[in-house]
Amino acid sequence: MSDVATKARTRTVPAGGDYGYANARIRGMRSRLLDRSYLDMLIEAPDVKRMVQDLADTEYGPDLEETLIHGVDAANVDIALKNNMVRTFQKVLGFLNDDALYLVTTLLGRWDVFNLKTILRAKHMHLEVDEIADGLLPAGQLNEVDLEALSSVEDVRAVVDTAATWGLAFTAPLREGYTEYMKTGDLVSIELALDRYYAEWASRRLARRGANAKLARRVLATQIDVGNLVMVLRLQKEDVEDIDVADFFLPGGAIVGIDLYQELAGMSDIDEVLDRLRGTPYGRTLDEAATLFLEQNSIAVFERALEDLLTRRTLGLAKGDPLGVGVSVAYLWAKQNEVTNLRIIVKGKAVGMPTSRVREELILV
Amino acid sequence: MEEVRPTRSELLERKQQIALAEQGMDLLKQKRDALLIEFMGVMDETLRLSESLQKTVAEAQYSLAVAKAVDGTVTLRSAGMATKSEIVVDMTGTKIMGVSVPVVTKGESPIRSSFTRGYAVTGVTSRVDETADKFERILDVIIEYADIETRLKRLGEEIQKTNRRVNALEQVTVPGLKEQVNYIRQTLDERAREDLFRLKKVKKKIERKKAAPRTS
Repeated sequence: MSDVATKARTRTVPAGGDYGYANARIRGMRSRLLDRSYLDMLIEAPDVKRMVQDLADTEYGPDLEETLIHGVDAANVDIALKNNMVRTFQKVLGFLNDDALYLVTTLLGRWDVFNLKTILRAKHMHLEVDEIADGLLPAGQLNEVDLEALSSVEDVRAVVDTAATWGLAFTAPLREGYTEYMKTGDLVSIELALDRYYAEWASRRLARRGANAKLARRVLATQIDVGNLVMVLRLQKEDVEDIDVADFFLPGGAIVGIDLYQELAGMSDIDEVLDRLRGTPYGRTLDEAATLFLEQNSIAVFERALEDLLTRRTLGLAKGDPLGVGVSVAYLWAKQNEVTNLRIIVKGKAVGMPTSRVREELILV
Repeated sequence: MEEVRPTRSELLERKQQIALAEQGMDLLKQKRDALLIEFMGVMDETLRLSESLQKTVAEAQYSLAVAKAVDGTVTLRSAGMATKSEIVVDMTGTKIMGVSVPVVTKGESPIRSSFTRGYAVTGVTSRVDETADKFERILDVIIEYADIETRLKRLGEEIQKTNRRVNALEQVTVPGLKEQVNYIRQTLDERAREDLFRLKKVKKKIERKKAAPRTS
């Protein structure tokens, strides 16, 4: 854990709230993001090989070169894209000022939670360290070395103890969930505790004064709302009984509080939920996705539409806040969206997905 | 031809054997027809399940491709690490027209809800969850398919076996027995003719002997 602990000490960037340096660098990096016409060209490429040739001339070149030694296929391109994203995120975190670093790492804390959950799952299943690495994405505060060290411990108990020794923010939910895990042998309790804690912890950290914290809070709140809305829709589709829906509620949303969440979860069907949400900022998006839902009978349709909304809103922040943390946050979201788009295009081509379906899945902003 | 004693008792025995073989052949033909009716029913069910399996696999593969594309392999691998389950399958047996057929039944459906897959549903997208659901549906159909396919295979084997038996009786055993009956019958007739001829000869000789002292 030494890396995370000493990160602040070893950084040589402007301290405090000077955003000029970081934003200038990010604007440079943003100019290298791939535009819509480039993605269109990739979609029309005849095969994955040609896509890789085209991508080799972009920012992704070095990562592709390193990974594709093992063969040019969609799986290796996926690894290269992941490596590029991780590298870019770590690079951005490296030059942010203290204020921005605090806000951005709070937002990226979801990746730390994701990685912790992966390690817990792997330990629960007694997997080898090499196998665990395939399920990790060190885009948060815990870097590759930290995660490797955490992956090397013996069991779930040791992960919880190591997190406590390192003083990780997520020690409390790990301990809380571990007690339940000991009783049931089921990881769900730890995972739920982690997800809930992250929402509370991040909301608390971002409850600061100032325009930058407010902006980060808006991103987080929208993200939590999206999570809660998808959860409600999943509960409606599953039509499960004997579960307490409140267990799956994440606090800290902007619109979907516990009362609305429970009201929505208690409704008779998805149509009623959509009716109730009409008039909220999510109503139109969900209504538009409803037709596709009727065709496909998949909640993923709503989830993708809400992800689209979240991405567009977050990217819009840079325009509204050209001098603050909005630039960094929007860039990181844009980068993640670009990687997702590229993955969809490459995978779509590899499995022979129709281009119309590929375009449906893309979030083009 | 096997060595046959051309006696009247042997002839009777062979005739009885022919009657028995023909009776057996009729029974086997009836069994074969009944098995064929059963086989056709099972065949329809197998075709239905096979189509269902193909459709389910195609849907699951497509879902997996979309989930891999949108969420990334990393997310899928992570979710995959969380789910652990065993599939309980009950194996019993039943008899169809005397044919032992294993019966494979699901102890518990492999299709689980999003809340019992081993991961917290709050941290996994619905794409990944729906993909898991579709693969569980494959398992569900596979178990049904295993049951019906084994049944089909056993019935097919039994039909073949019965057919071979019918053919053996019809083409080999009964014609062989009939040939033996013919042989015995011919031999017996021959013997009867010889006896008759000999008796006539003896009769002539006796008559000649009787006539001789009168002439002398």
